[in-house]
Amino acid sequence: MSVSRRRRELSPAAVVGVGALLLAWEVGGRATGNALPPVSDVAGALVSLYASGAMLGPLAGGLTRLGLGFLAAVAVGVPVGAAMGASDAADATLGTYVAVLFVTSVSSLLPFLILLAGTGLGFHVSVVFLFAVFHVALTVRDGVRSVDPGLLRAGRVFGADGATLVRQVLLPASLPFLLAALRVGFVRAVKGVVVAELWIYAGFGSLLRSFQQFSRTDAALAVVVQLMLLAVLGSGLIRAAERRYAGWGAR
Amino acid sequence: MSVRDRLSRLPPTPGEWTLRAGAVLFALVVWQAVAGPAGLLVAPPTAVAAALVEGLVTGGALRGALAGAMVHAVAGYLLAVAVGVPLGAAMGASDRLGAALDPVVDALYATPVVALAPLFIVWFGLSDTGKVALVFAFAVFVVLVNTEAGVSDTPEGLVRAARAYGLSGVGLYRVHLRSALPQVATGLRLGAGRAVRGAVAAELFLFAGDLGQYLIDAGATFQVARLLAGVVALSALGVLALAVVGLFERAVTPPRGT
Repeated sequence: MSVSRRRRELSPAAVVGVGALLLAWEVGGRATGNALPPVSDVAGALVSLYASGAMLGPLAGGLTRLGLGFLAAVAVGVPVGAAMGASDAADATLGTYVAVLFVTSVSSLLPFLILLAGTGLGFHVSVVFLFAVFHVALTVRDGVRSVDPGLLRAGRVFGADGATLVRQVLLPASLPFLLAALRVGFVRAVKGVVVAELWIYAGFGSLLRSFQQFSRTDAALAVVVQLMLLAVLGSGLIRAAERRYAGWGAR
Repeated sequence: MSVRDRLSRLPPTPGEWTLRAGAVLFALVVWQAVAGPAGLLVAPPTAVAAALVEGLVTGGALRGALAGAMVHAVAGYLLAVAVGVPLGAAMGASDRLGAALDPVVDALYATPVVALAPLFIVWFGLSDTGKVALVFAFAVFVVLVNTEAGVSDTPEGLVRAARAYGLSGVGLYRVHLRSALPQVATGLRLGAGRAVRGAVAAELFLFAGDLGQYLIDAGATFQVARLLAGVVALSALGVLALAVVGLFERAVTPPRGT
């Protein structure tokens, strides 16, 4: 978020860098007698996880939990964050709750959430929700706070007030942050999915735990790669939307 | 994040403090009122407070558990700083190195680190090394990314002036680092928070030491007050870690408006 001048486009240097690291991984893996499985083995394991269908169930289940939890986090986090940004009173009250819960380790709440929600869909969705919602709220809050007061004054001069001012000035001006909030929230939500599933040995978590039992590090790494792709693809899509719709934002 | 940091340095007004205190009080009262009828599952704040005192002061079970986990947090954090700062600085100072490694760092930064826990069990067994490694993986990227951003934002003129005075290599690196210090410090602060979370994750997802056992047992035996006391103490510890590193951050950050 605070990362300003980082390069995002796929440059030749990036291709070389990624290629060199993959090569080092491959060579390193073979040299150490497969203590670290070489990248070709991991790619093979990923393909066979798909071919055998073992990945499909966890992927479908994980995406459902991800989608529900993420949507809930956006539905709550965006209005709360917007209120915190727009009003000092909301910032002091709601903001206090958000700040307290933001620093709470969601993982440490897992044994408690199990008691409250059992091990069904509700448990997964609430973990994903808790992982994402505070990041969404705080990013939106920052976005609304950073709107140039001059824009608001200009809007008022032209006769906008109340809802009109929010809809026509405040929202468009905070759009870059709104999309950034979605991106940050999505990455957090993927982490939430994994934490919940690993805790109760469901979905990806049960795959990972069974590969752990049989010391199948190649297959376990393939699952990690799958999760990485999920997070990277999702946030990449949102980033593309940022470029398309909010390219003028100060980023 | 930068905006929030900037705003949070404004001293809050007395009215704001009243609102904040009121919000906390309100939440506690509601919690206490709800906890009675909700029965077993939600312990009232008074019971949680009692469990906190018992765990931290009179009994000390929680205190010992936290201390044990914090050893891993500190060791992993120091390792993350030792790797993240130099690597981030090198990536920030060299456009080519930065461009080459950015996609990898971004991808790893977005990866759910906790998914590595089963692998770490295979690689490190049930050892402290595994826990320290997990904390390291939790903390290193936020340190690295912030250091890189800070260093690559070094004003061009500063670098040119340093070159004109004959600095190169380590000398130039120090110019970059000095200018980047505030953002490096931000990375260090956020990393400290991540390290505490990493230590909790290590207790719950690698294997349970005293802290993991405390949380899991309290949950399994429905001792919700004990369980929530652990959660609250961990949050306080996270805040404390952020605050300690935040002191350093404040010391190296130039005053607003400069």
